This record gives sequence, structure tokens and C-alpha cells, in this order.
Amino acid sequence: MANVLGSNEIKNMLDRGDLVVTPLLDLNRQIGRASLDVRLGQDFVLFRKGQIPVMDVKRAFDNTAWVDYYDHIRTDYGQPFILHPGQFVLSSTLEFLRLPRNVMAYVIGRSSWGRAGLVIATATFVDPGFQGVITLELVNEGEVPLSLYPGTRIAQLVFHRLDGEVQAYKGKYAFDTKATASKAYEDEEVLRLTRKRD
Amino acid sequence: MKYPNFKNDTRWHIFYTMKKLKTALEKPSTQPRGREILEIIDRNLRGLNTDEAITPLIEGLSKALSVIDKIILGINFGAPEWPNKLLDLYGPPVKCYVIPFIEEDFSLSDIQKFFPNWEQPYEWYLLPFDVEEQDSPLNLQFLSEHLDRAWAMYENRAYNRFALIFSPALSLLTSSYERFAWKDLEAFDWPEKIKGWFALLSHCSAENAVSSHVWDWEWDEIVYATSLFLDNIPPCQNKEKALDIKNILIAGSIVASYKVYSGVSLEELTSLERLIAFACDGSLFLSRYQMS
Repeated sequence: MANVLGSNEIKNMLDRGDLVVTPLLDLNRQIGRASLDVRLGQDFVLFRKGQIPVMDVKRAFDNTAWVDYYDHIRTDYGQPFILHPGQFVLSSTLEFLRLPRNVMAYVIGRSSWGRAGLVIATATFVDPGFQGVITLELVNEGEVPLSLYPGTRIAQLVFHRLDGEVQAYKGKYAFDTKATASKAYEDEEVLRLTRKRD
Repeated sequence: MKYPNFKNDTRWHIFYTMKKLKTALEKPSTQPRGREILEIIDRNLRGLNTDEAITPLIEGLSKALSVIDKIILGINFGAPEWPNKLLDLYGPPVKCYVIPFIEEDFSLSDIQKFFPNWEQPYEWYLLPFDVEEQDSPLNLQFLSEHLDRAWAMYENRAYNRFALIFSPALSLLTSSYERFAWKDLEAFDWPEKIKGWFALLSHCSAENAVSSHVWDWEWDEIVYATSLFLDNIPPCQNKEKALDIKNILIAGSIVASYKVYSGVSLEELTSLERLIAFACDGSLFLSRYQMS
């Protein structure tokens, strides 16, 4: 594919400060021929299934209803998060990233984890100029529980150069510093569609 | 709760305290450190089940149980993140725990006065936390006070080293600009707007202001972290070296104070606070990884 950036160009962007990835624990181990590995963060967001009958964006207008869907867990260094078969959790990259305004990235799971049944991300597009941690949507599609240790290289970023600079991403997930639950209720069309029903 | 009739009422007091302990120990959200303390208390209170065990302890038992009740209440409420994090990093070589509702600093082994058979595997210092205080990496006054108080307990003398270490930040955060010699800092390679601001502040410095030479501040690291914060990037590391969290906190406070001085939105300040927290956690993770 044209415009996929190779290791030299990724290193150059890091050296120039155009691409920021921090904390970068071990660049040599994280950089691939045309990708950069990212690590699992320490925060996990999971559904509070026993208490909420249905996830309905309209309930977000009751102010606190949407946050009631989630529990937040922070694991200590060296402590695993156990992801059970079929379980879905949100986590994030350990690294905070800032992409140049002419580069976007795709998040792709590492095959070592894919072979264990772990699906890393379903919404894989990272906008040009994005700044923050990337939220990962983790699902264990395997048949046995998986221990996930924060700091593990879990996904990789593949960078693509655009044909010019665009406005930096300033959406509702910009500047996140930990896994962030869905803010679908902030979408303009959701406001309109749910208002019509009243 | 008052217990005027000692013998029966003490039994009730122990009963209710044990019940509170059980409930707190069964709560999955009880933090591991709090659980450790609760387990120590639980083991020791279990020895108080008989009259023979209670009778010799009449003096002060009720007071000791009330202290224990407050510890349970504090652990149940939840411990603040930042003072505990900094005590782990820079506190004395004793286990420390900051919790609300207890009234004064004390070491857990002080309870031995009331329970002669009290046993605990380690010493614990418990320090109070006012629930109205802000648990934030920007509340350096509060954080430095906790560090100094824990060290004062350990060394058994007055201690104010952290008030000094954080003095540049404290001077800015409390708008006591006269307390620090800002002119000393003009020689460093600060971002232009910070440099210009320090030039303005230098006229405020009092004659007895703290000079930049009285402590071995790593100004290069603080300047570097300040530049990144201004660029909305969390300064976890400089190349492969993890930044010292003290320096991250000082730099974060400089930028936060500058932003307040410049009249930025509260949203920007919130975002900066999150970046400071991230930078501290990132730096800590990196240094642990490198040591492993």
C-alpha cells in the first residue's frame, strides 16, 4: 500500500518530535518494519451488566445514567487483568500519542495475541493530529481466560501519510489519558433522533 | 456512640466494631493497603472475646476502640490517591497510609498501650486527610505537608525538606511570589512566555526569598517538562530517562499557575491536571520497567 510509513520514517518523526509516543519503554523492541508496537495501559472499563437492562443513549439525558453502565478498574504494575472468554472490556494504550497533522494510523492487534483469541480493536482509525491515549476494545474470543499484564505489547500502529495537512482532531476523545467509555450520546444525530421521540 | 456502662457496653462496642470490620473486609472495593490494616485490627480484636481479656483493659479501651472505628470509617470512605502515591515514593521507610476521619498522625503500634498483646508484622504510620482537601497532583502544599509530617514522625524532629523542595511551585500556587528568587531562574532555557513571566515575578521577590541554590533542583529537567506541558504533552521521559516525579509536579505547577495567570478556561486546567497525572504514572511505569 502506498504511503505506509516504514521504520526509518517512523524513527525520523519521533526524533523530530513530529510524532510523540510516551512513555516509550523500548523503541528498538517496539519498532517494526512498517509499524510501531504499543503497550497495554493500566486502566480497564467494563460493563456493569447486572444492574443495567439496556444501553440506551436516551438515558444519558438523565445525567448520570450513562456512567452507571461502567465500572473502572486500575491494575498495579505487575498485576494482570483477567479477561474471560466472551468478555468485552475497554482499556487503552500505555502510551500517550500525538500524530502529525498529515499522518493517520490504524490500530492492529499483534498476531501473538490474536492466536490466543484476543481481539484488540474494533474501531481502529486514529485521526491525523490526534493527541491522547488510544482506547482499545478488547474481546476474548478464545476459550480460556487470558491474563493481560499492563505494559505488554498488545497492538501495533501502522502509519499512513496524507497528501496534505488537515485540522488536528479535536473530537470528544481528544486528550484522553485513560480508557474512555463511549460518548455516543454526545453525537449530534443522537440528540436529534431522541428528541423527536418526545 | 457513648458507652456509659463499661462492662456490657464495651462488649457492645467490640461487637459493633467487629461487625464494621467484617463488612469492610468483605467489600471488594477496599484497597489492598486498607485491607492489610483491617486484617491486623481484626486479628487483634478477636483476642478480646472473653471477659478475662476485657477486664484488665478497662483504662482507655473505649478510646482505643473509637480510634479503630475511625480507621475503619476512613478506609471505608477511601484513601486519597496523591498523598499516598508520594509517600510511597518519597516517604520514610515505613508503611504510610493517609486516610480521612482519623484526628491526628499516629503509628499503629501506639495502640499497644491499650492492647498489651497487640501484634502487627510492620509499623504503619496513619496520617489524617481532610475530605474537603483536593486530592490532586496540583495540591502541592497539602502533599508536601504530608511528606514532611511522615518524615517528622520517623525522625522524631521537625522536618520541612519537602516544603523547600516544592517551594518554587508553592510560591506560584499560593501567589506568594515574594517567597522565591525568580530572577535566579532567568538564566535557564525556559519557553519564552514563562521566561517573560518570571522576569515580571522577579520584581516581587523579597530579600529573604528562597534562592535557587539552596536546594539541588534539577532545573534542566524542570524546564524540559515545562516546555512539554505547554505543548500539551505529558513529560514522562527525556530520551530513555524517566523524569523524576518531583520535577514533573513542579513543572506542572509552574504551567498551571501560568495558565491561571493568563486566564485560561477551567477545561484547559482540568486537561493539564490529567496530563500531570499521566506523566507521573508514565514515568513511574518506565522506571519500574527499567529496574526489572
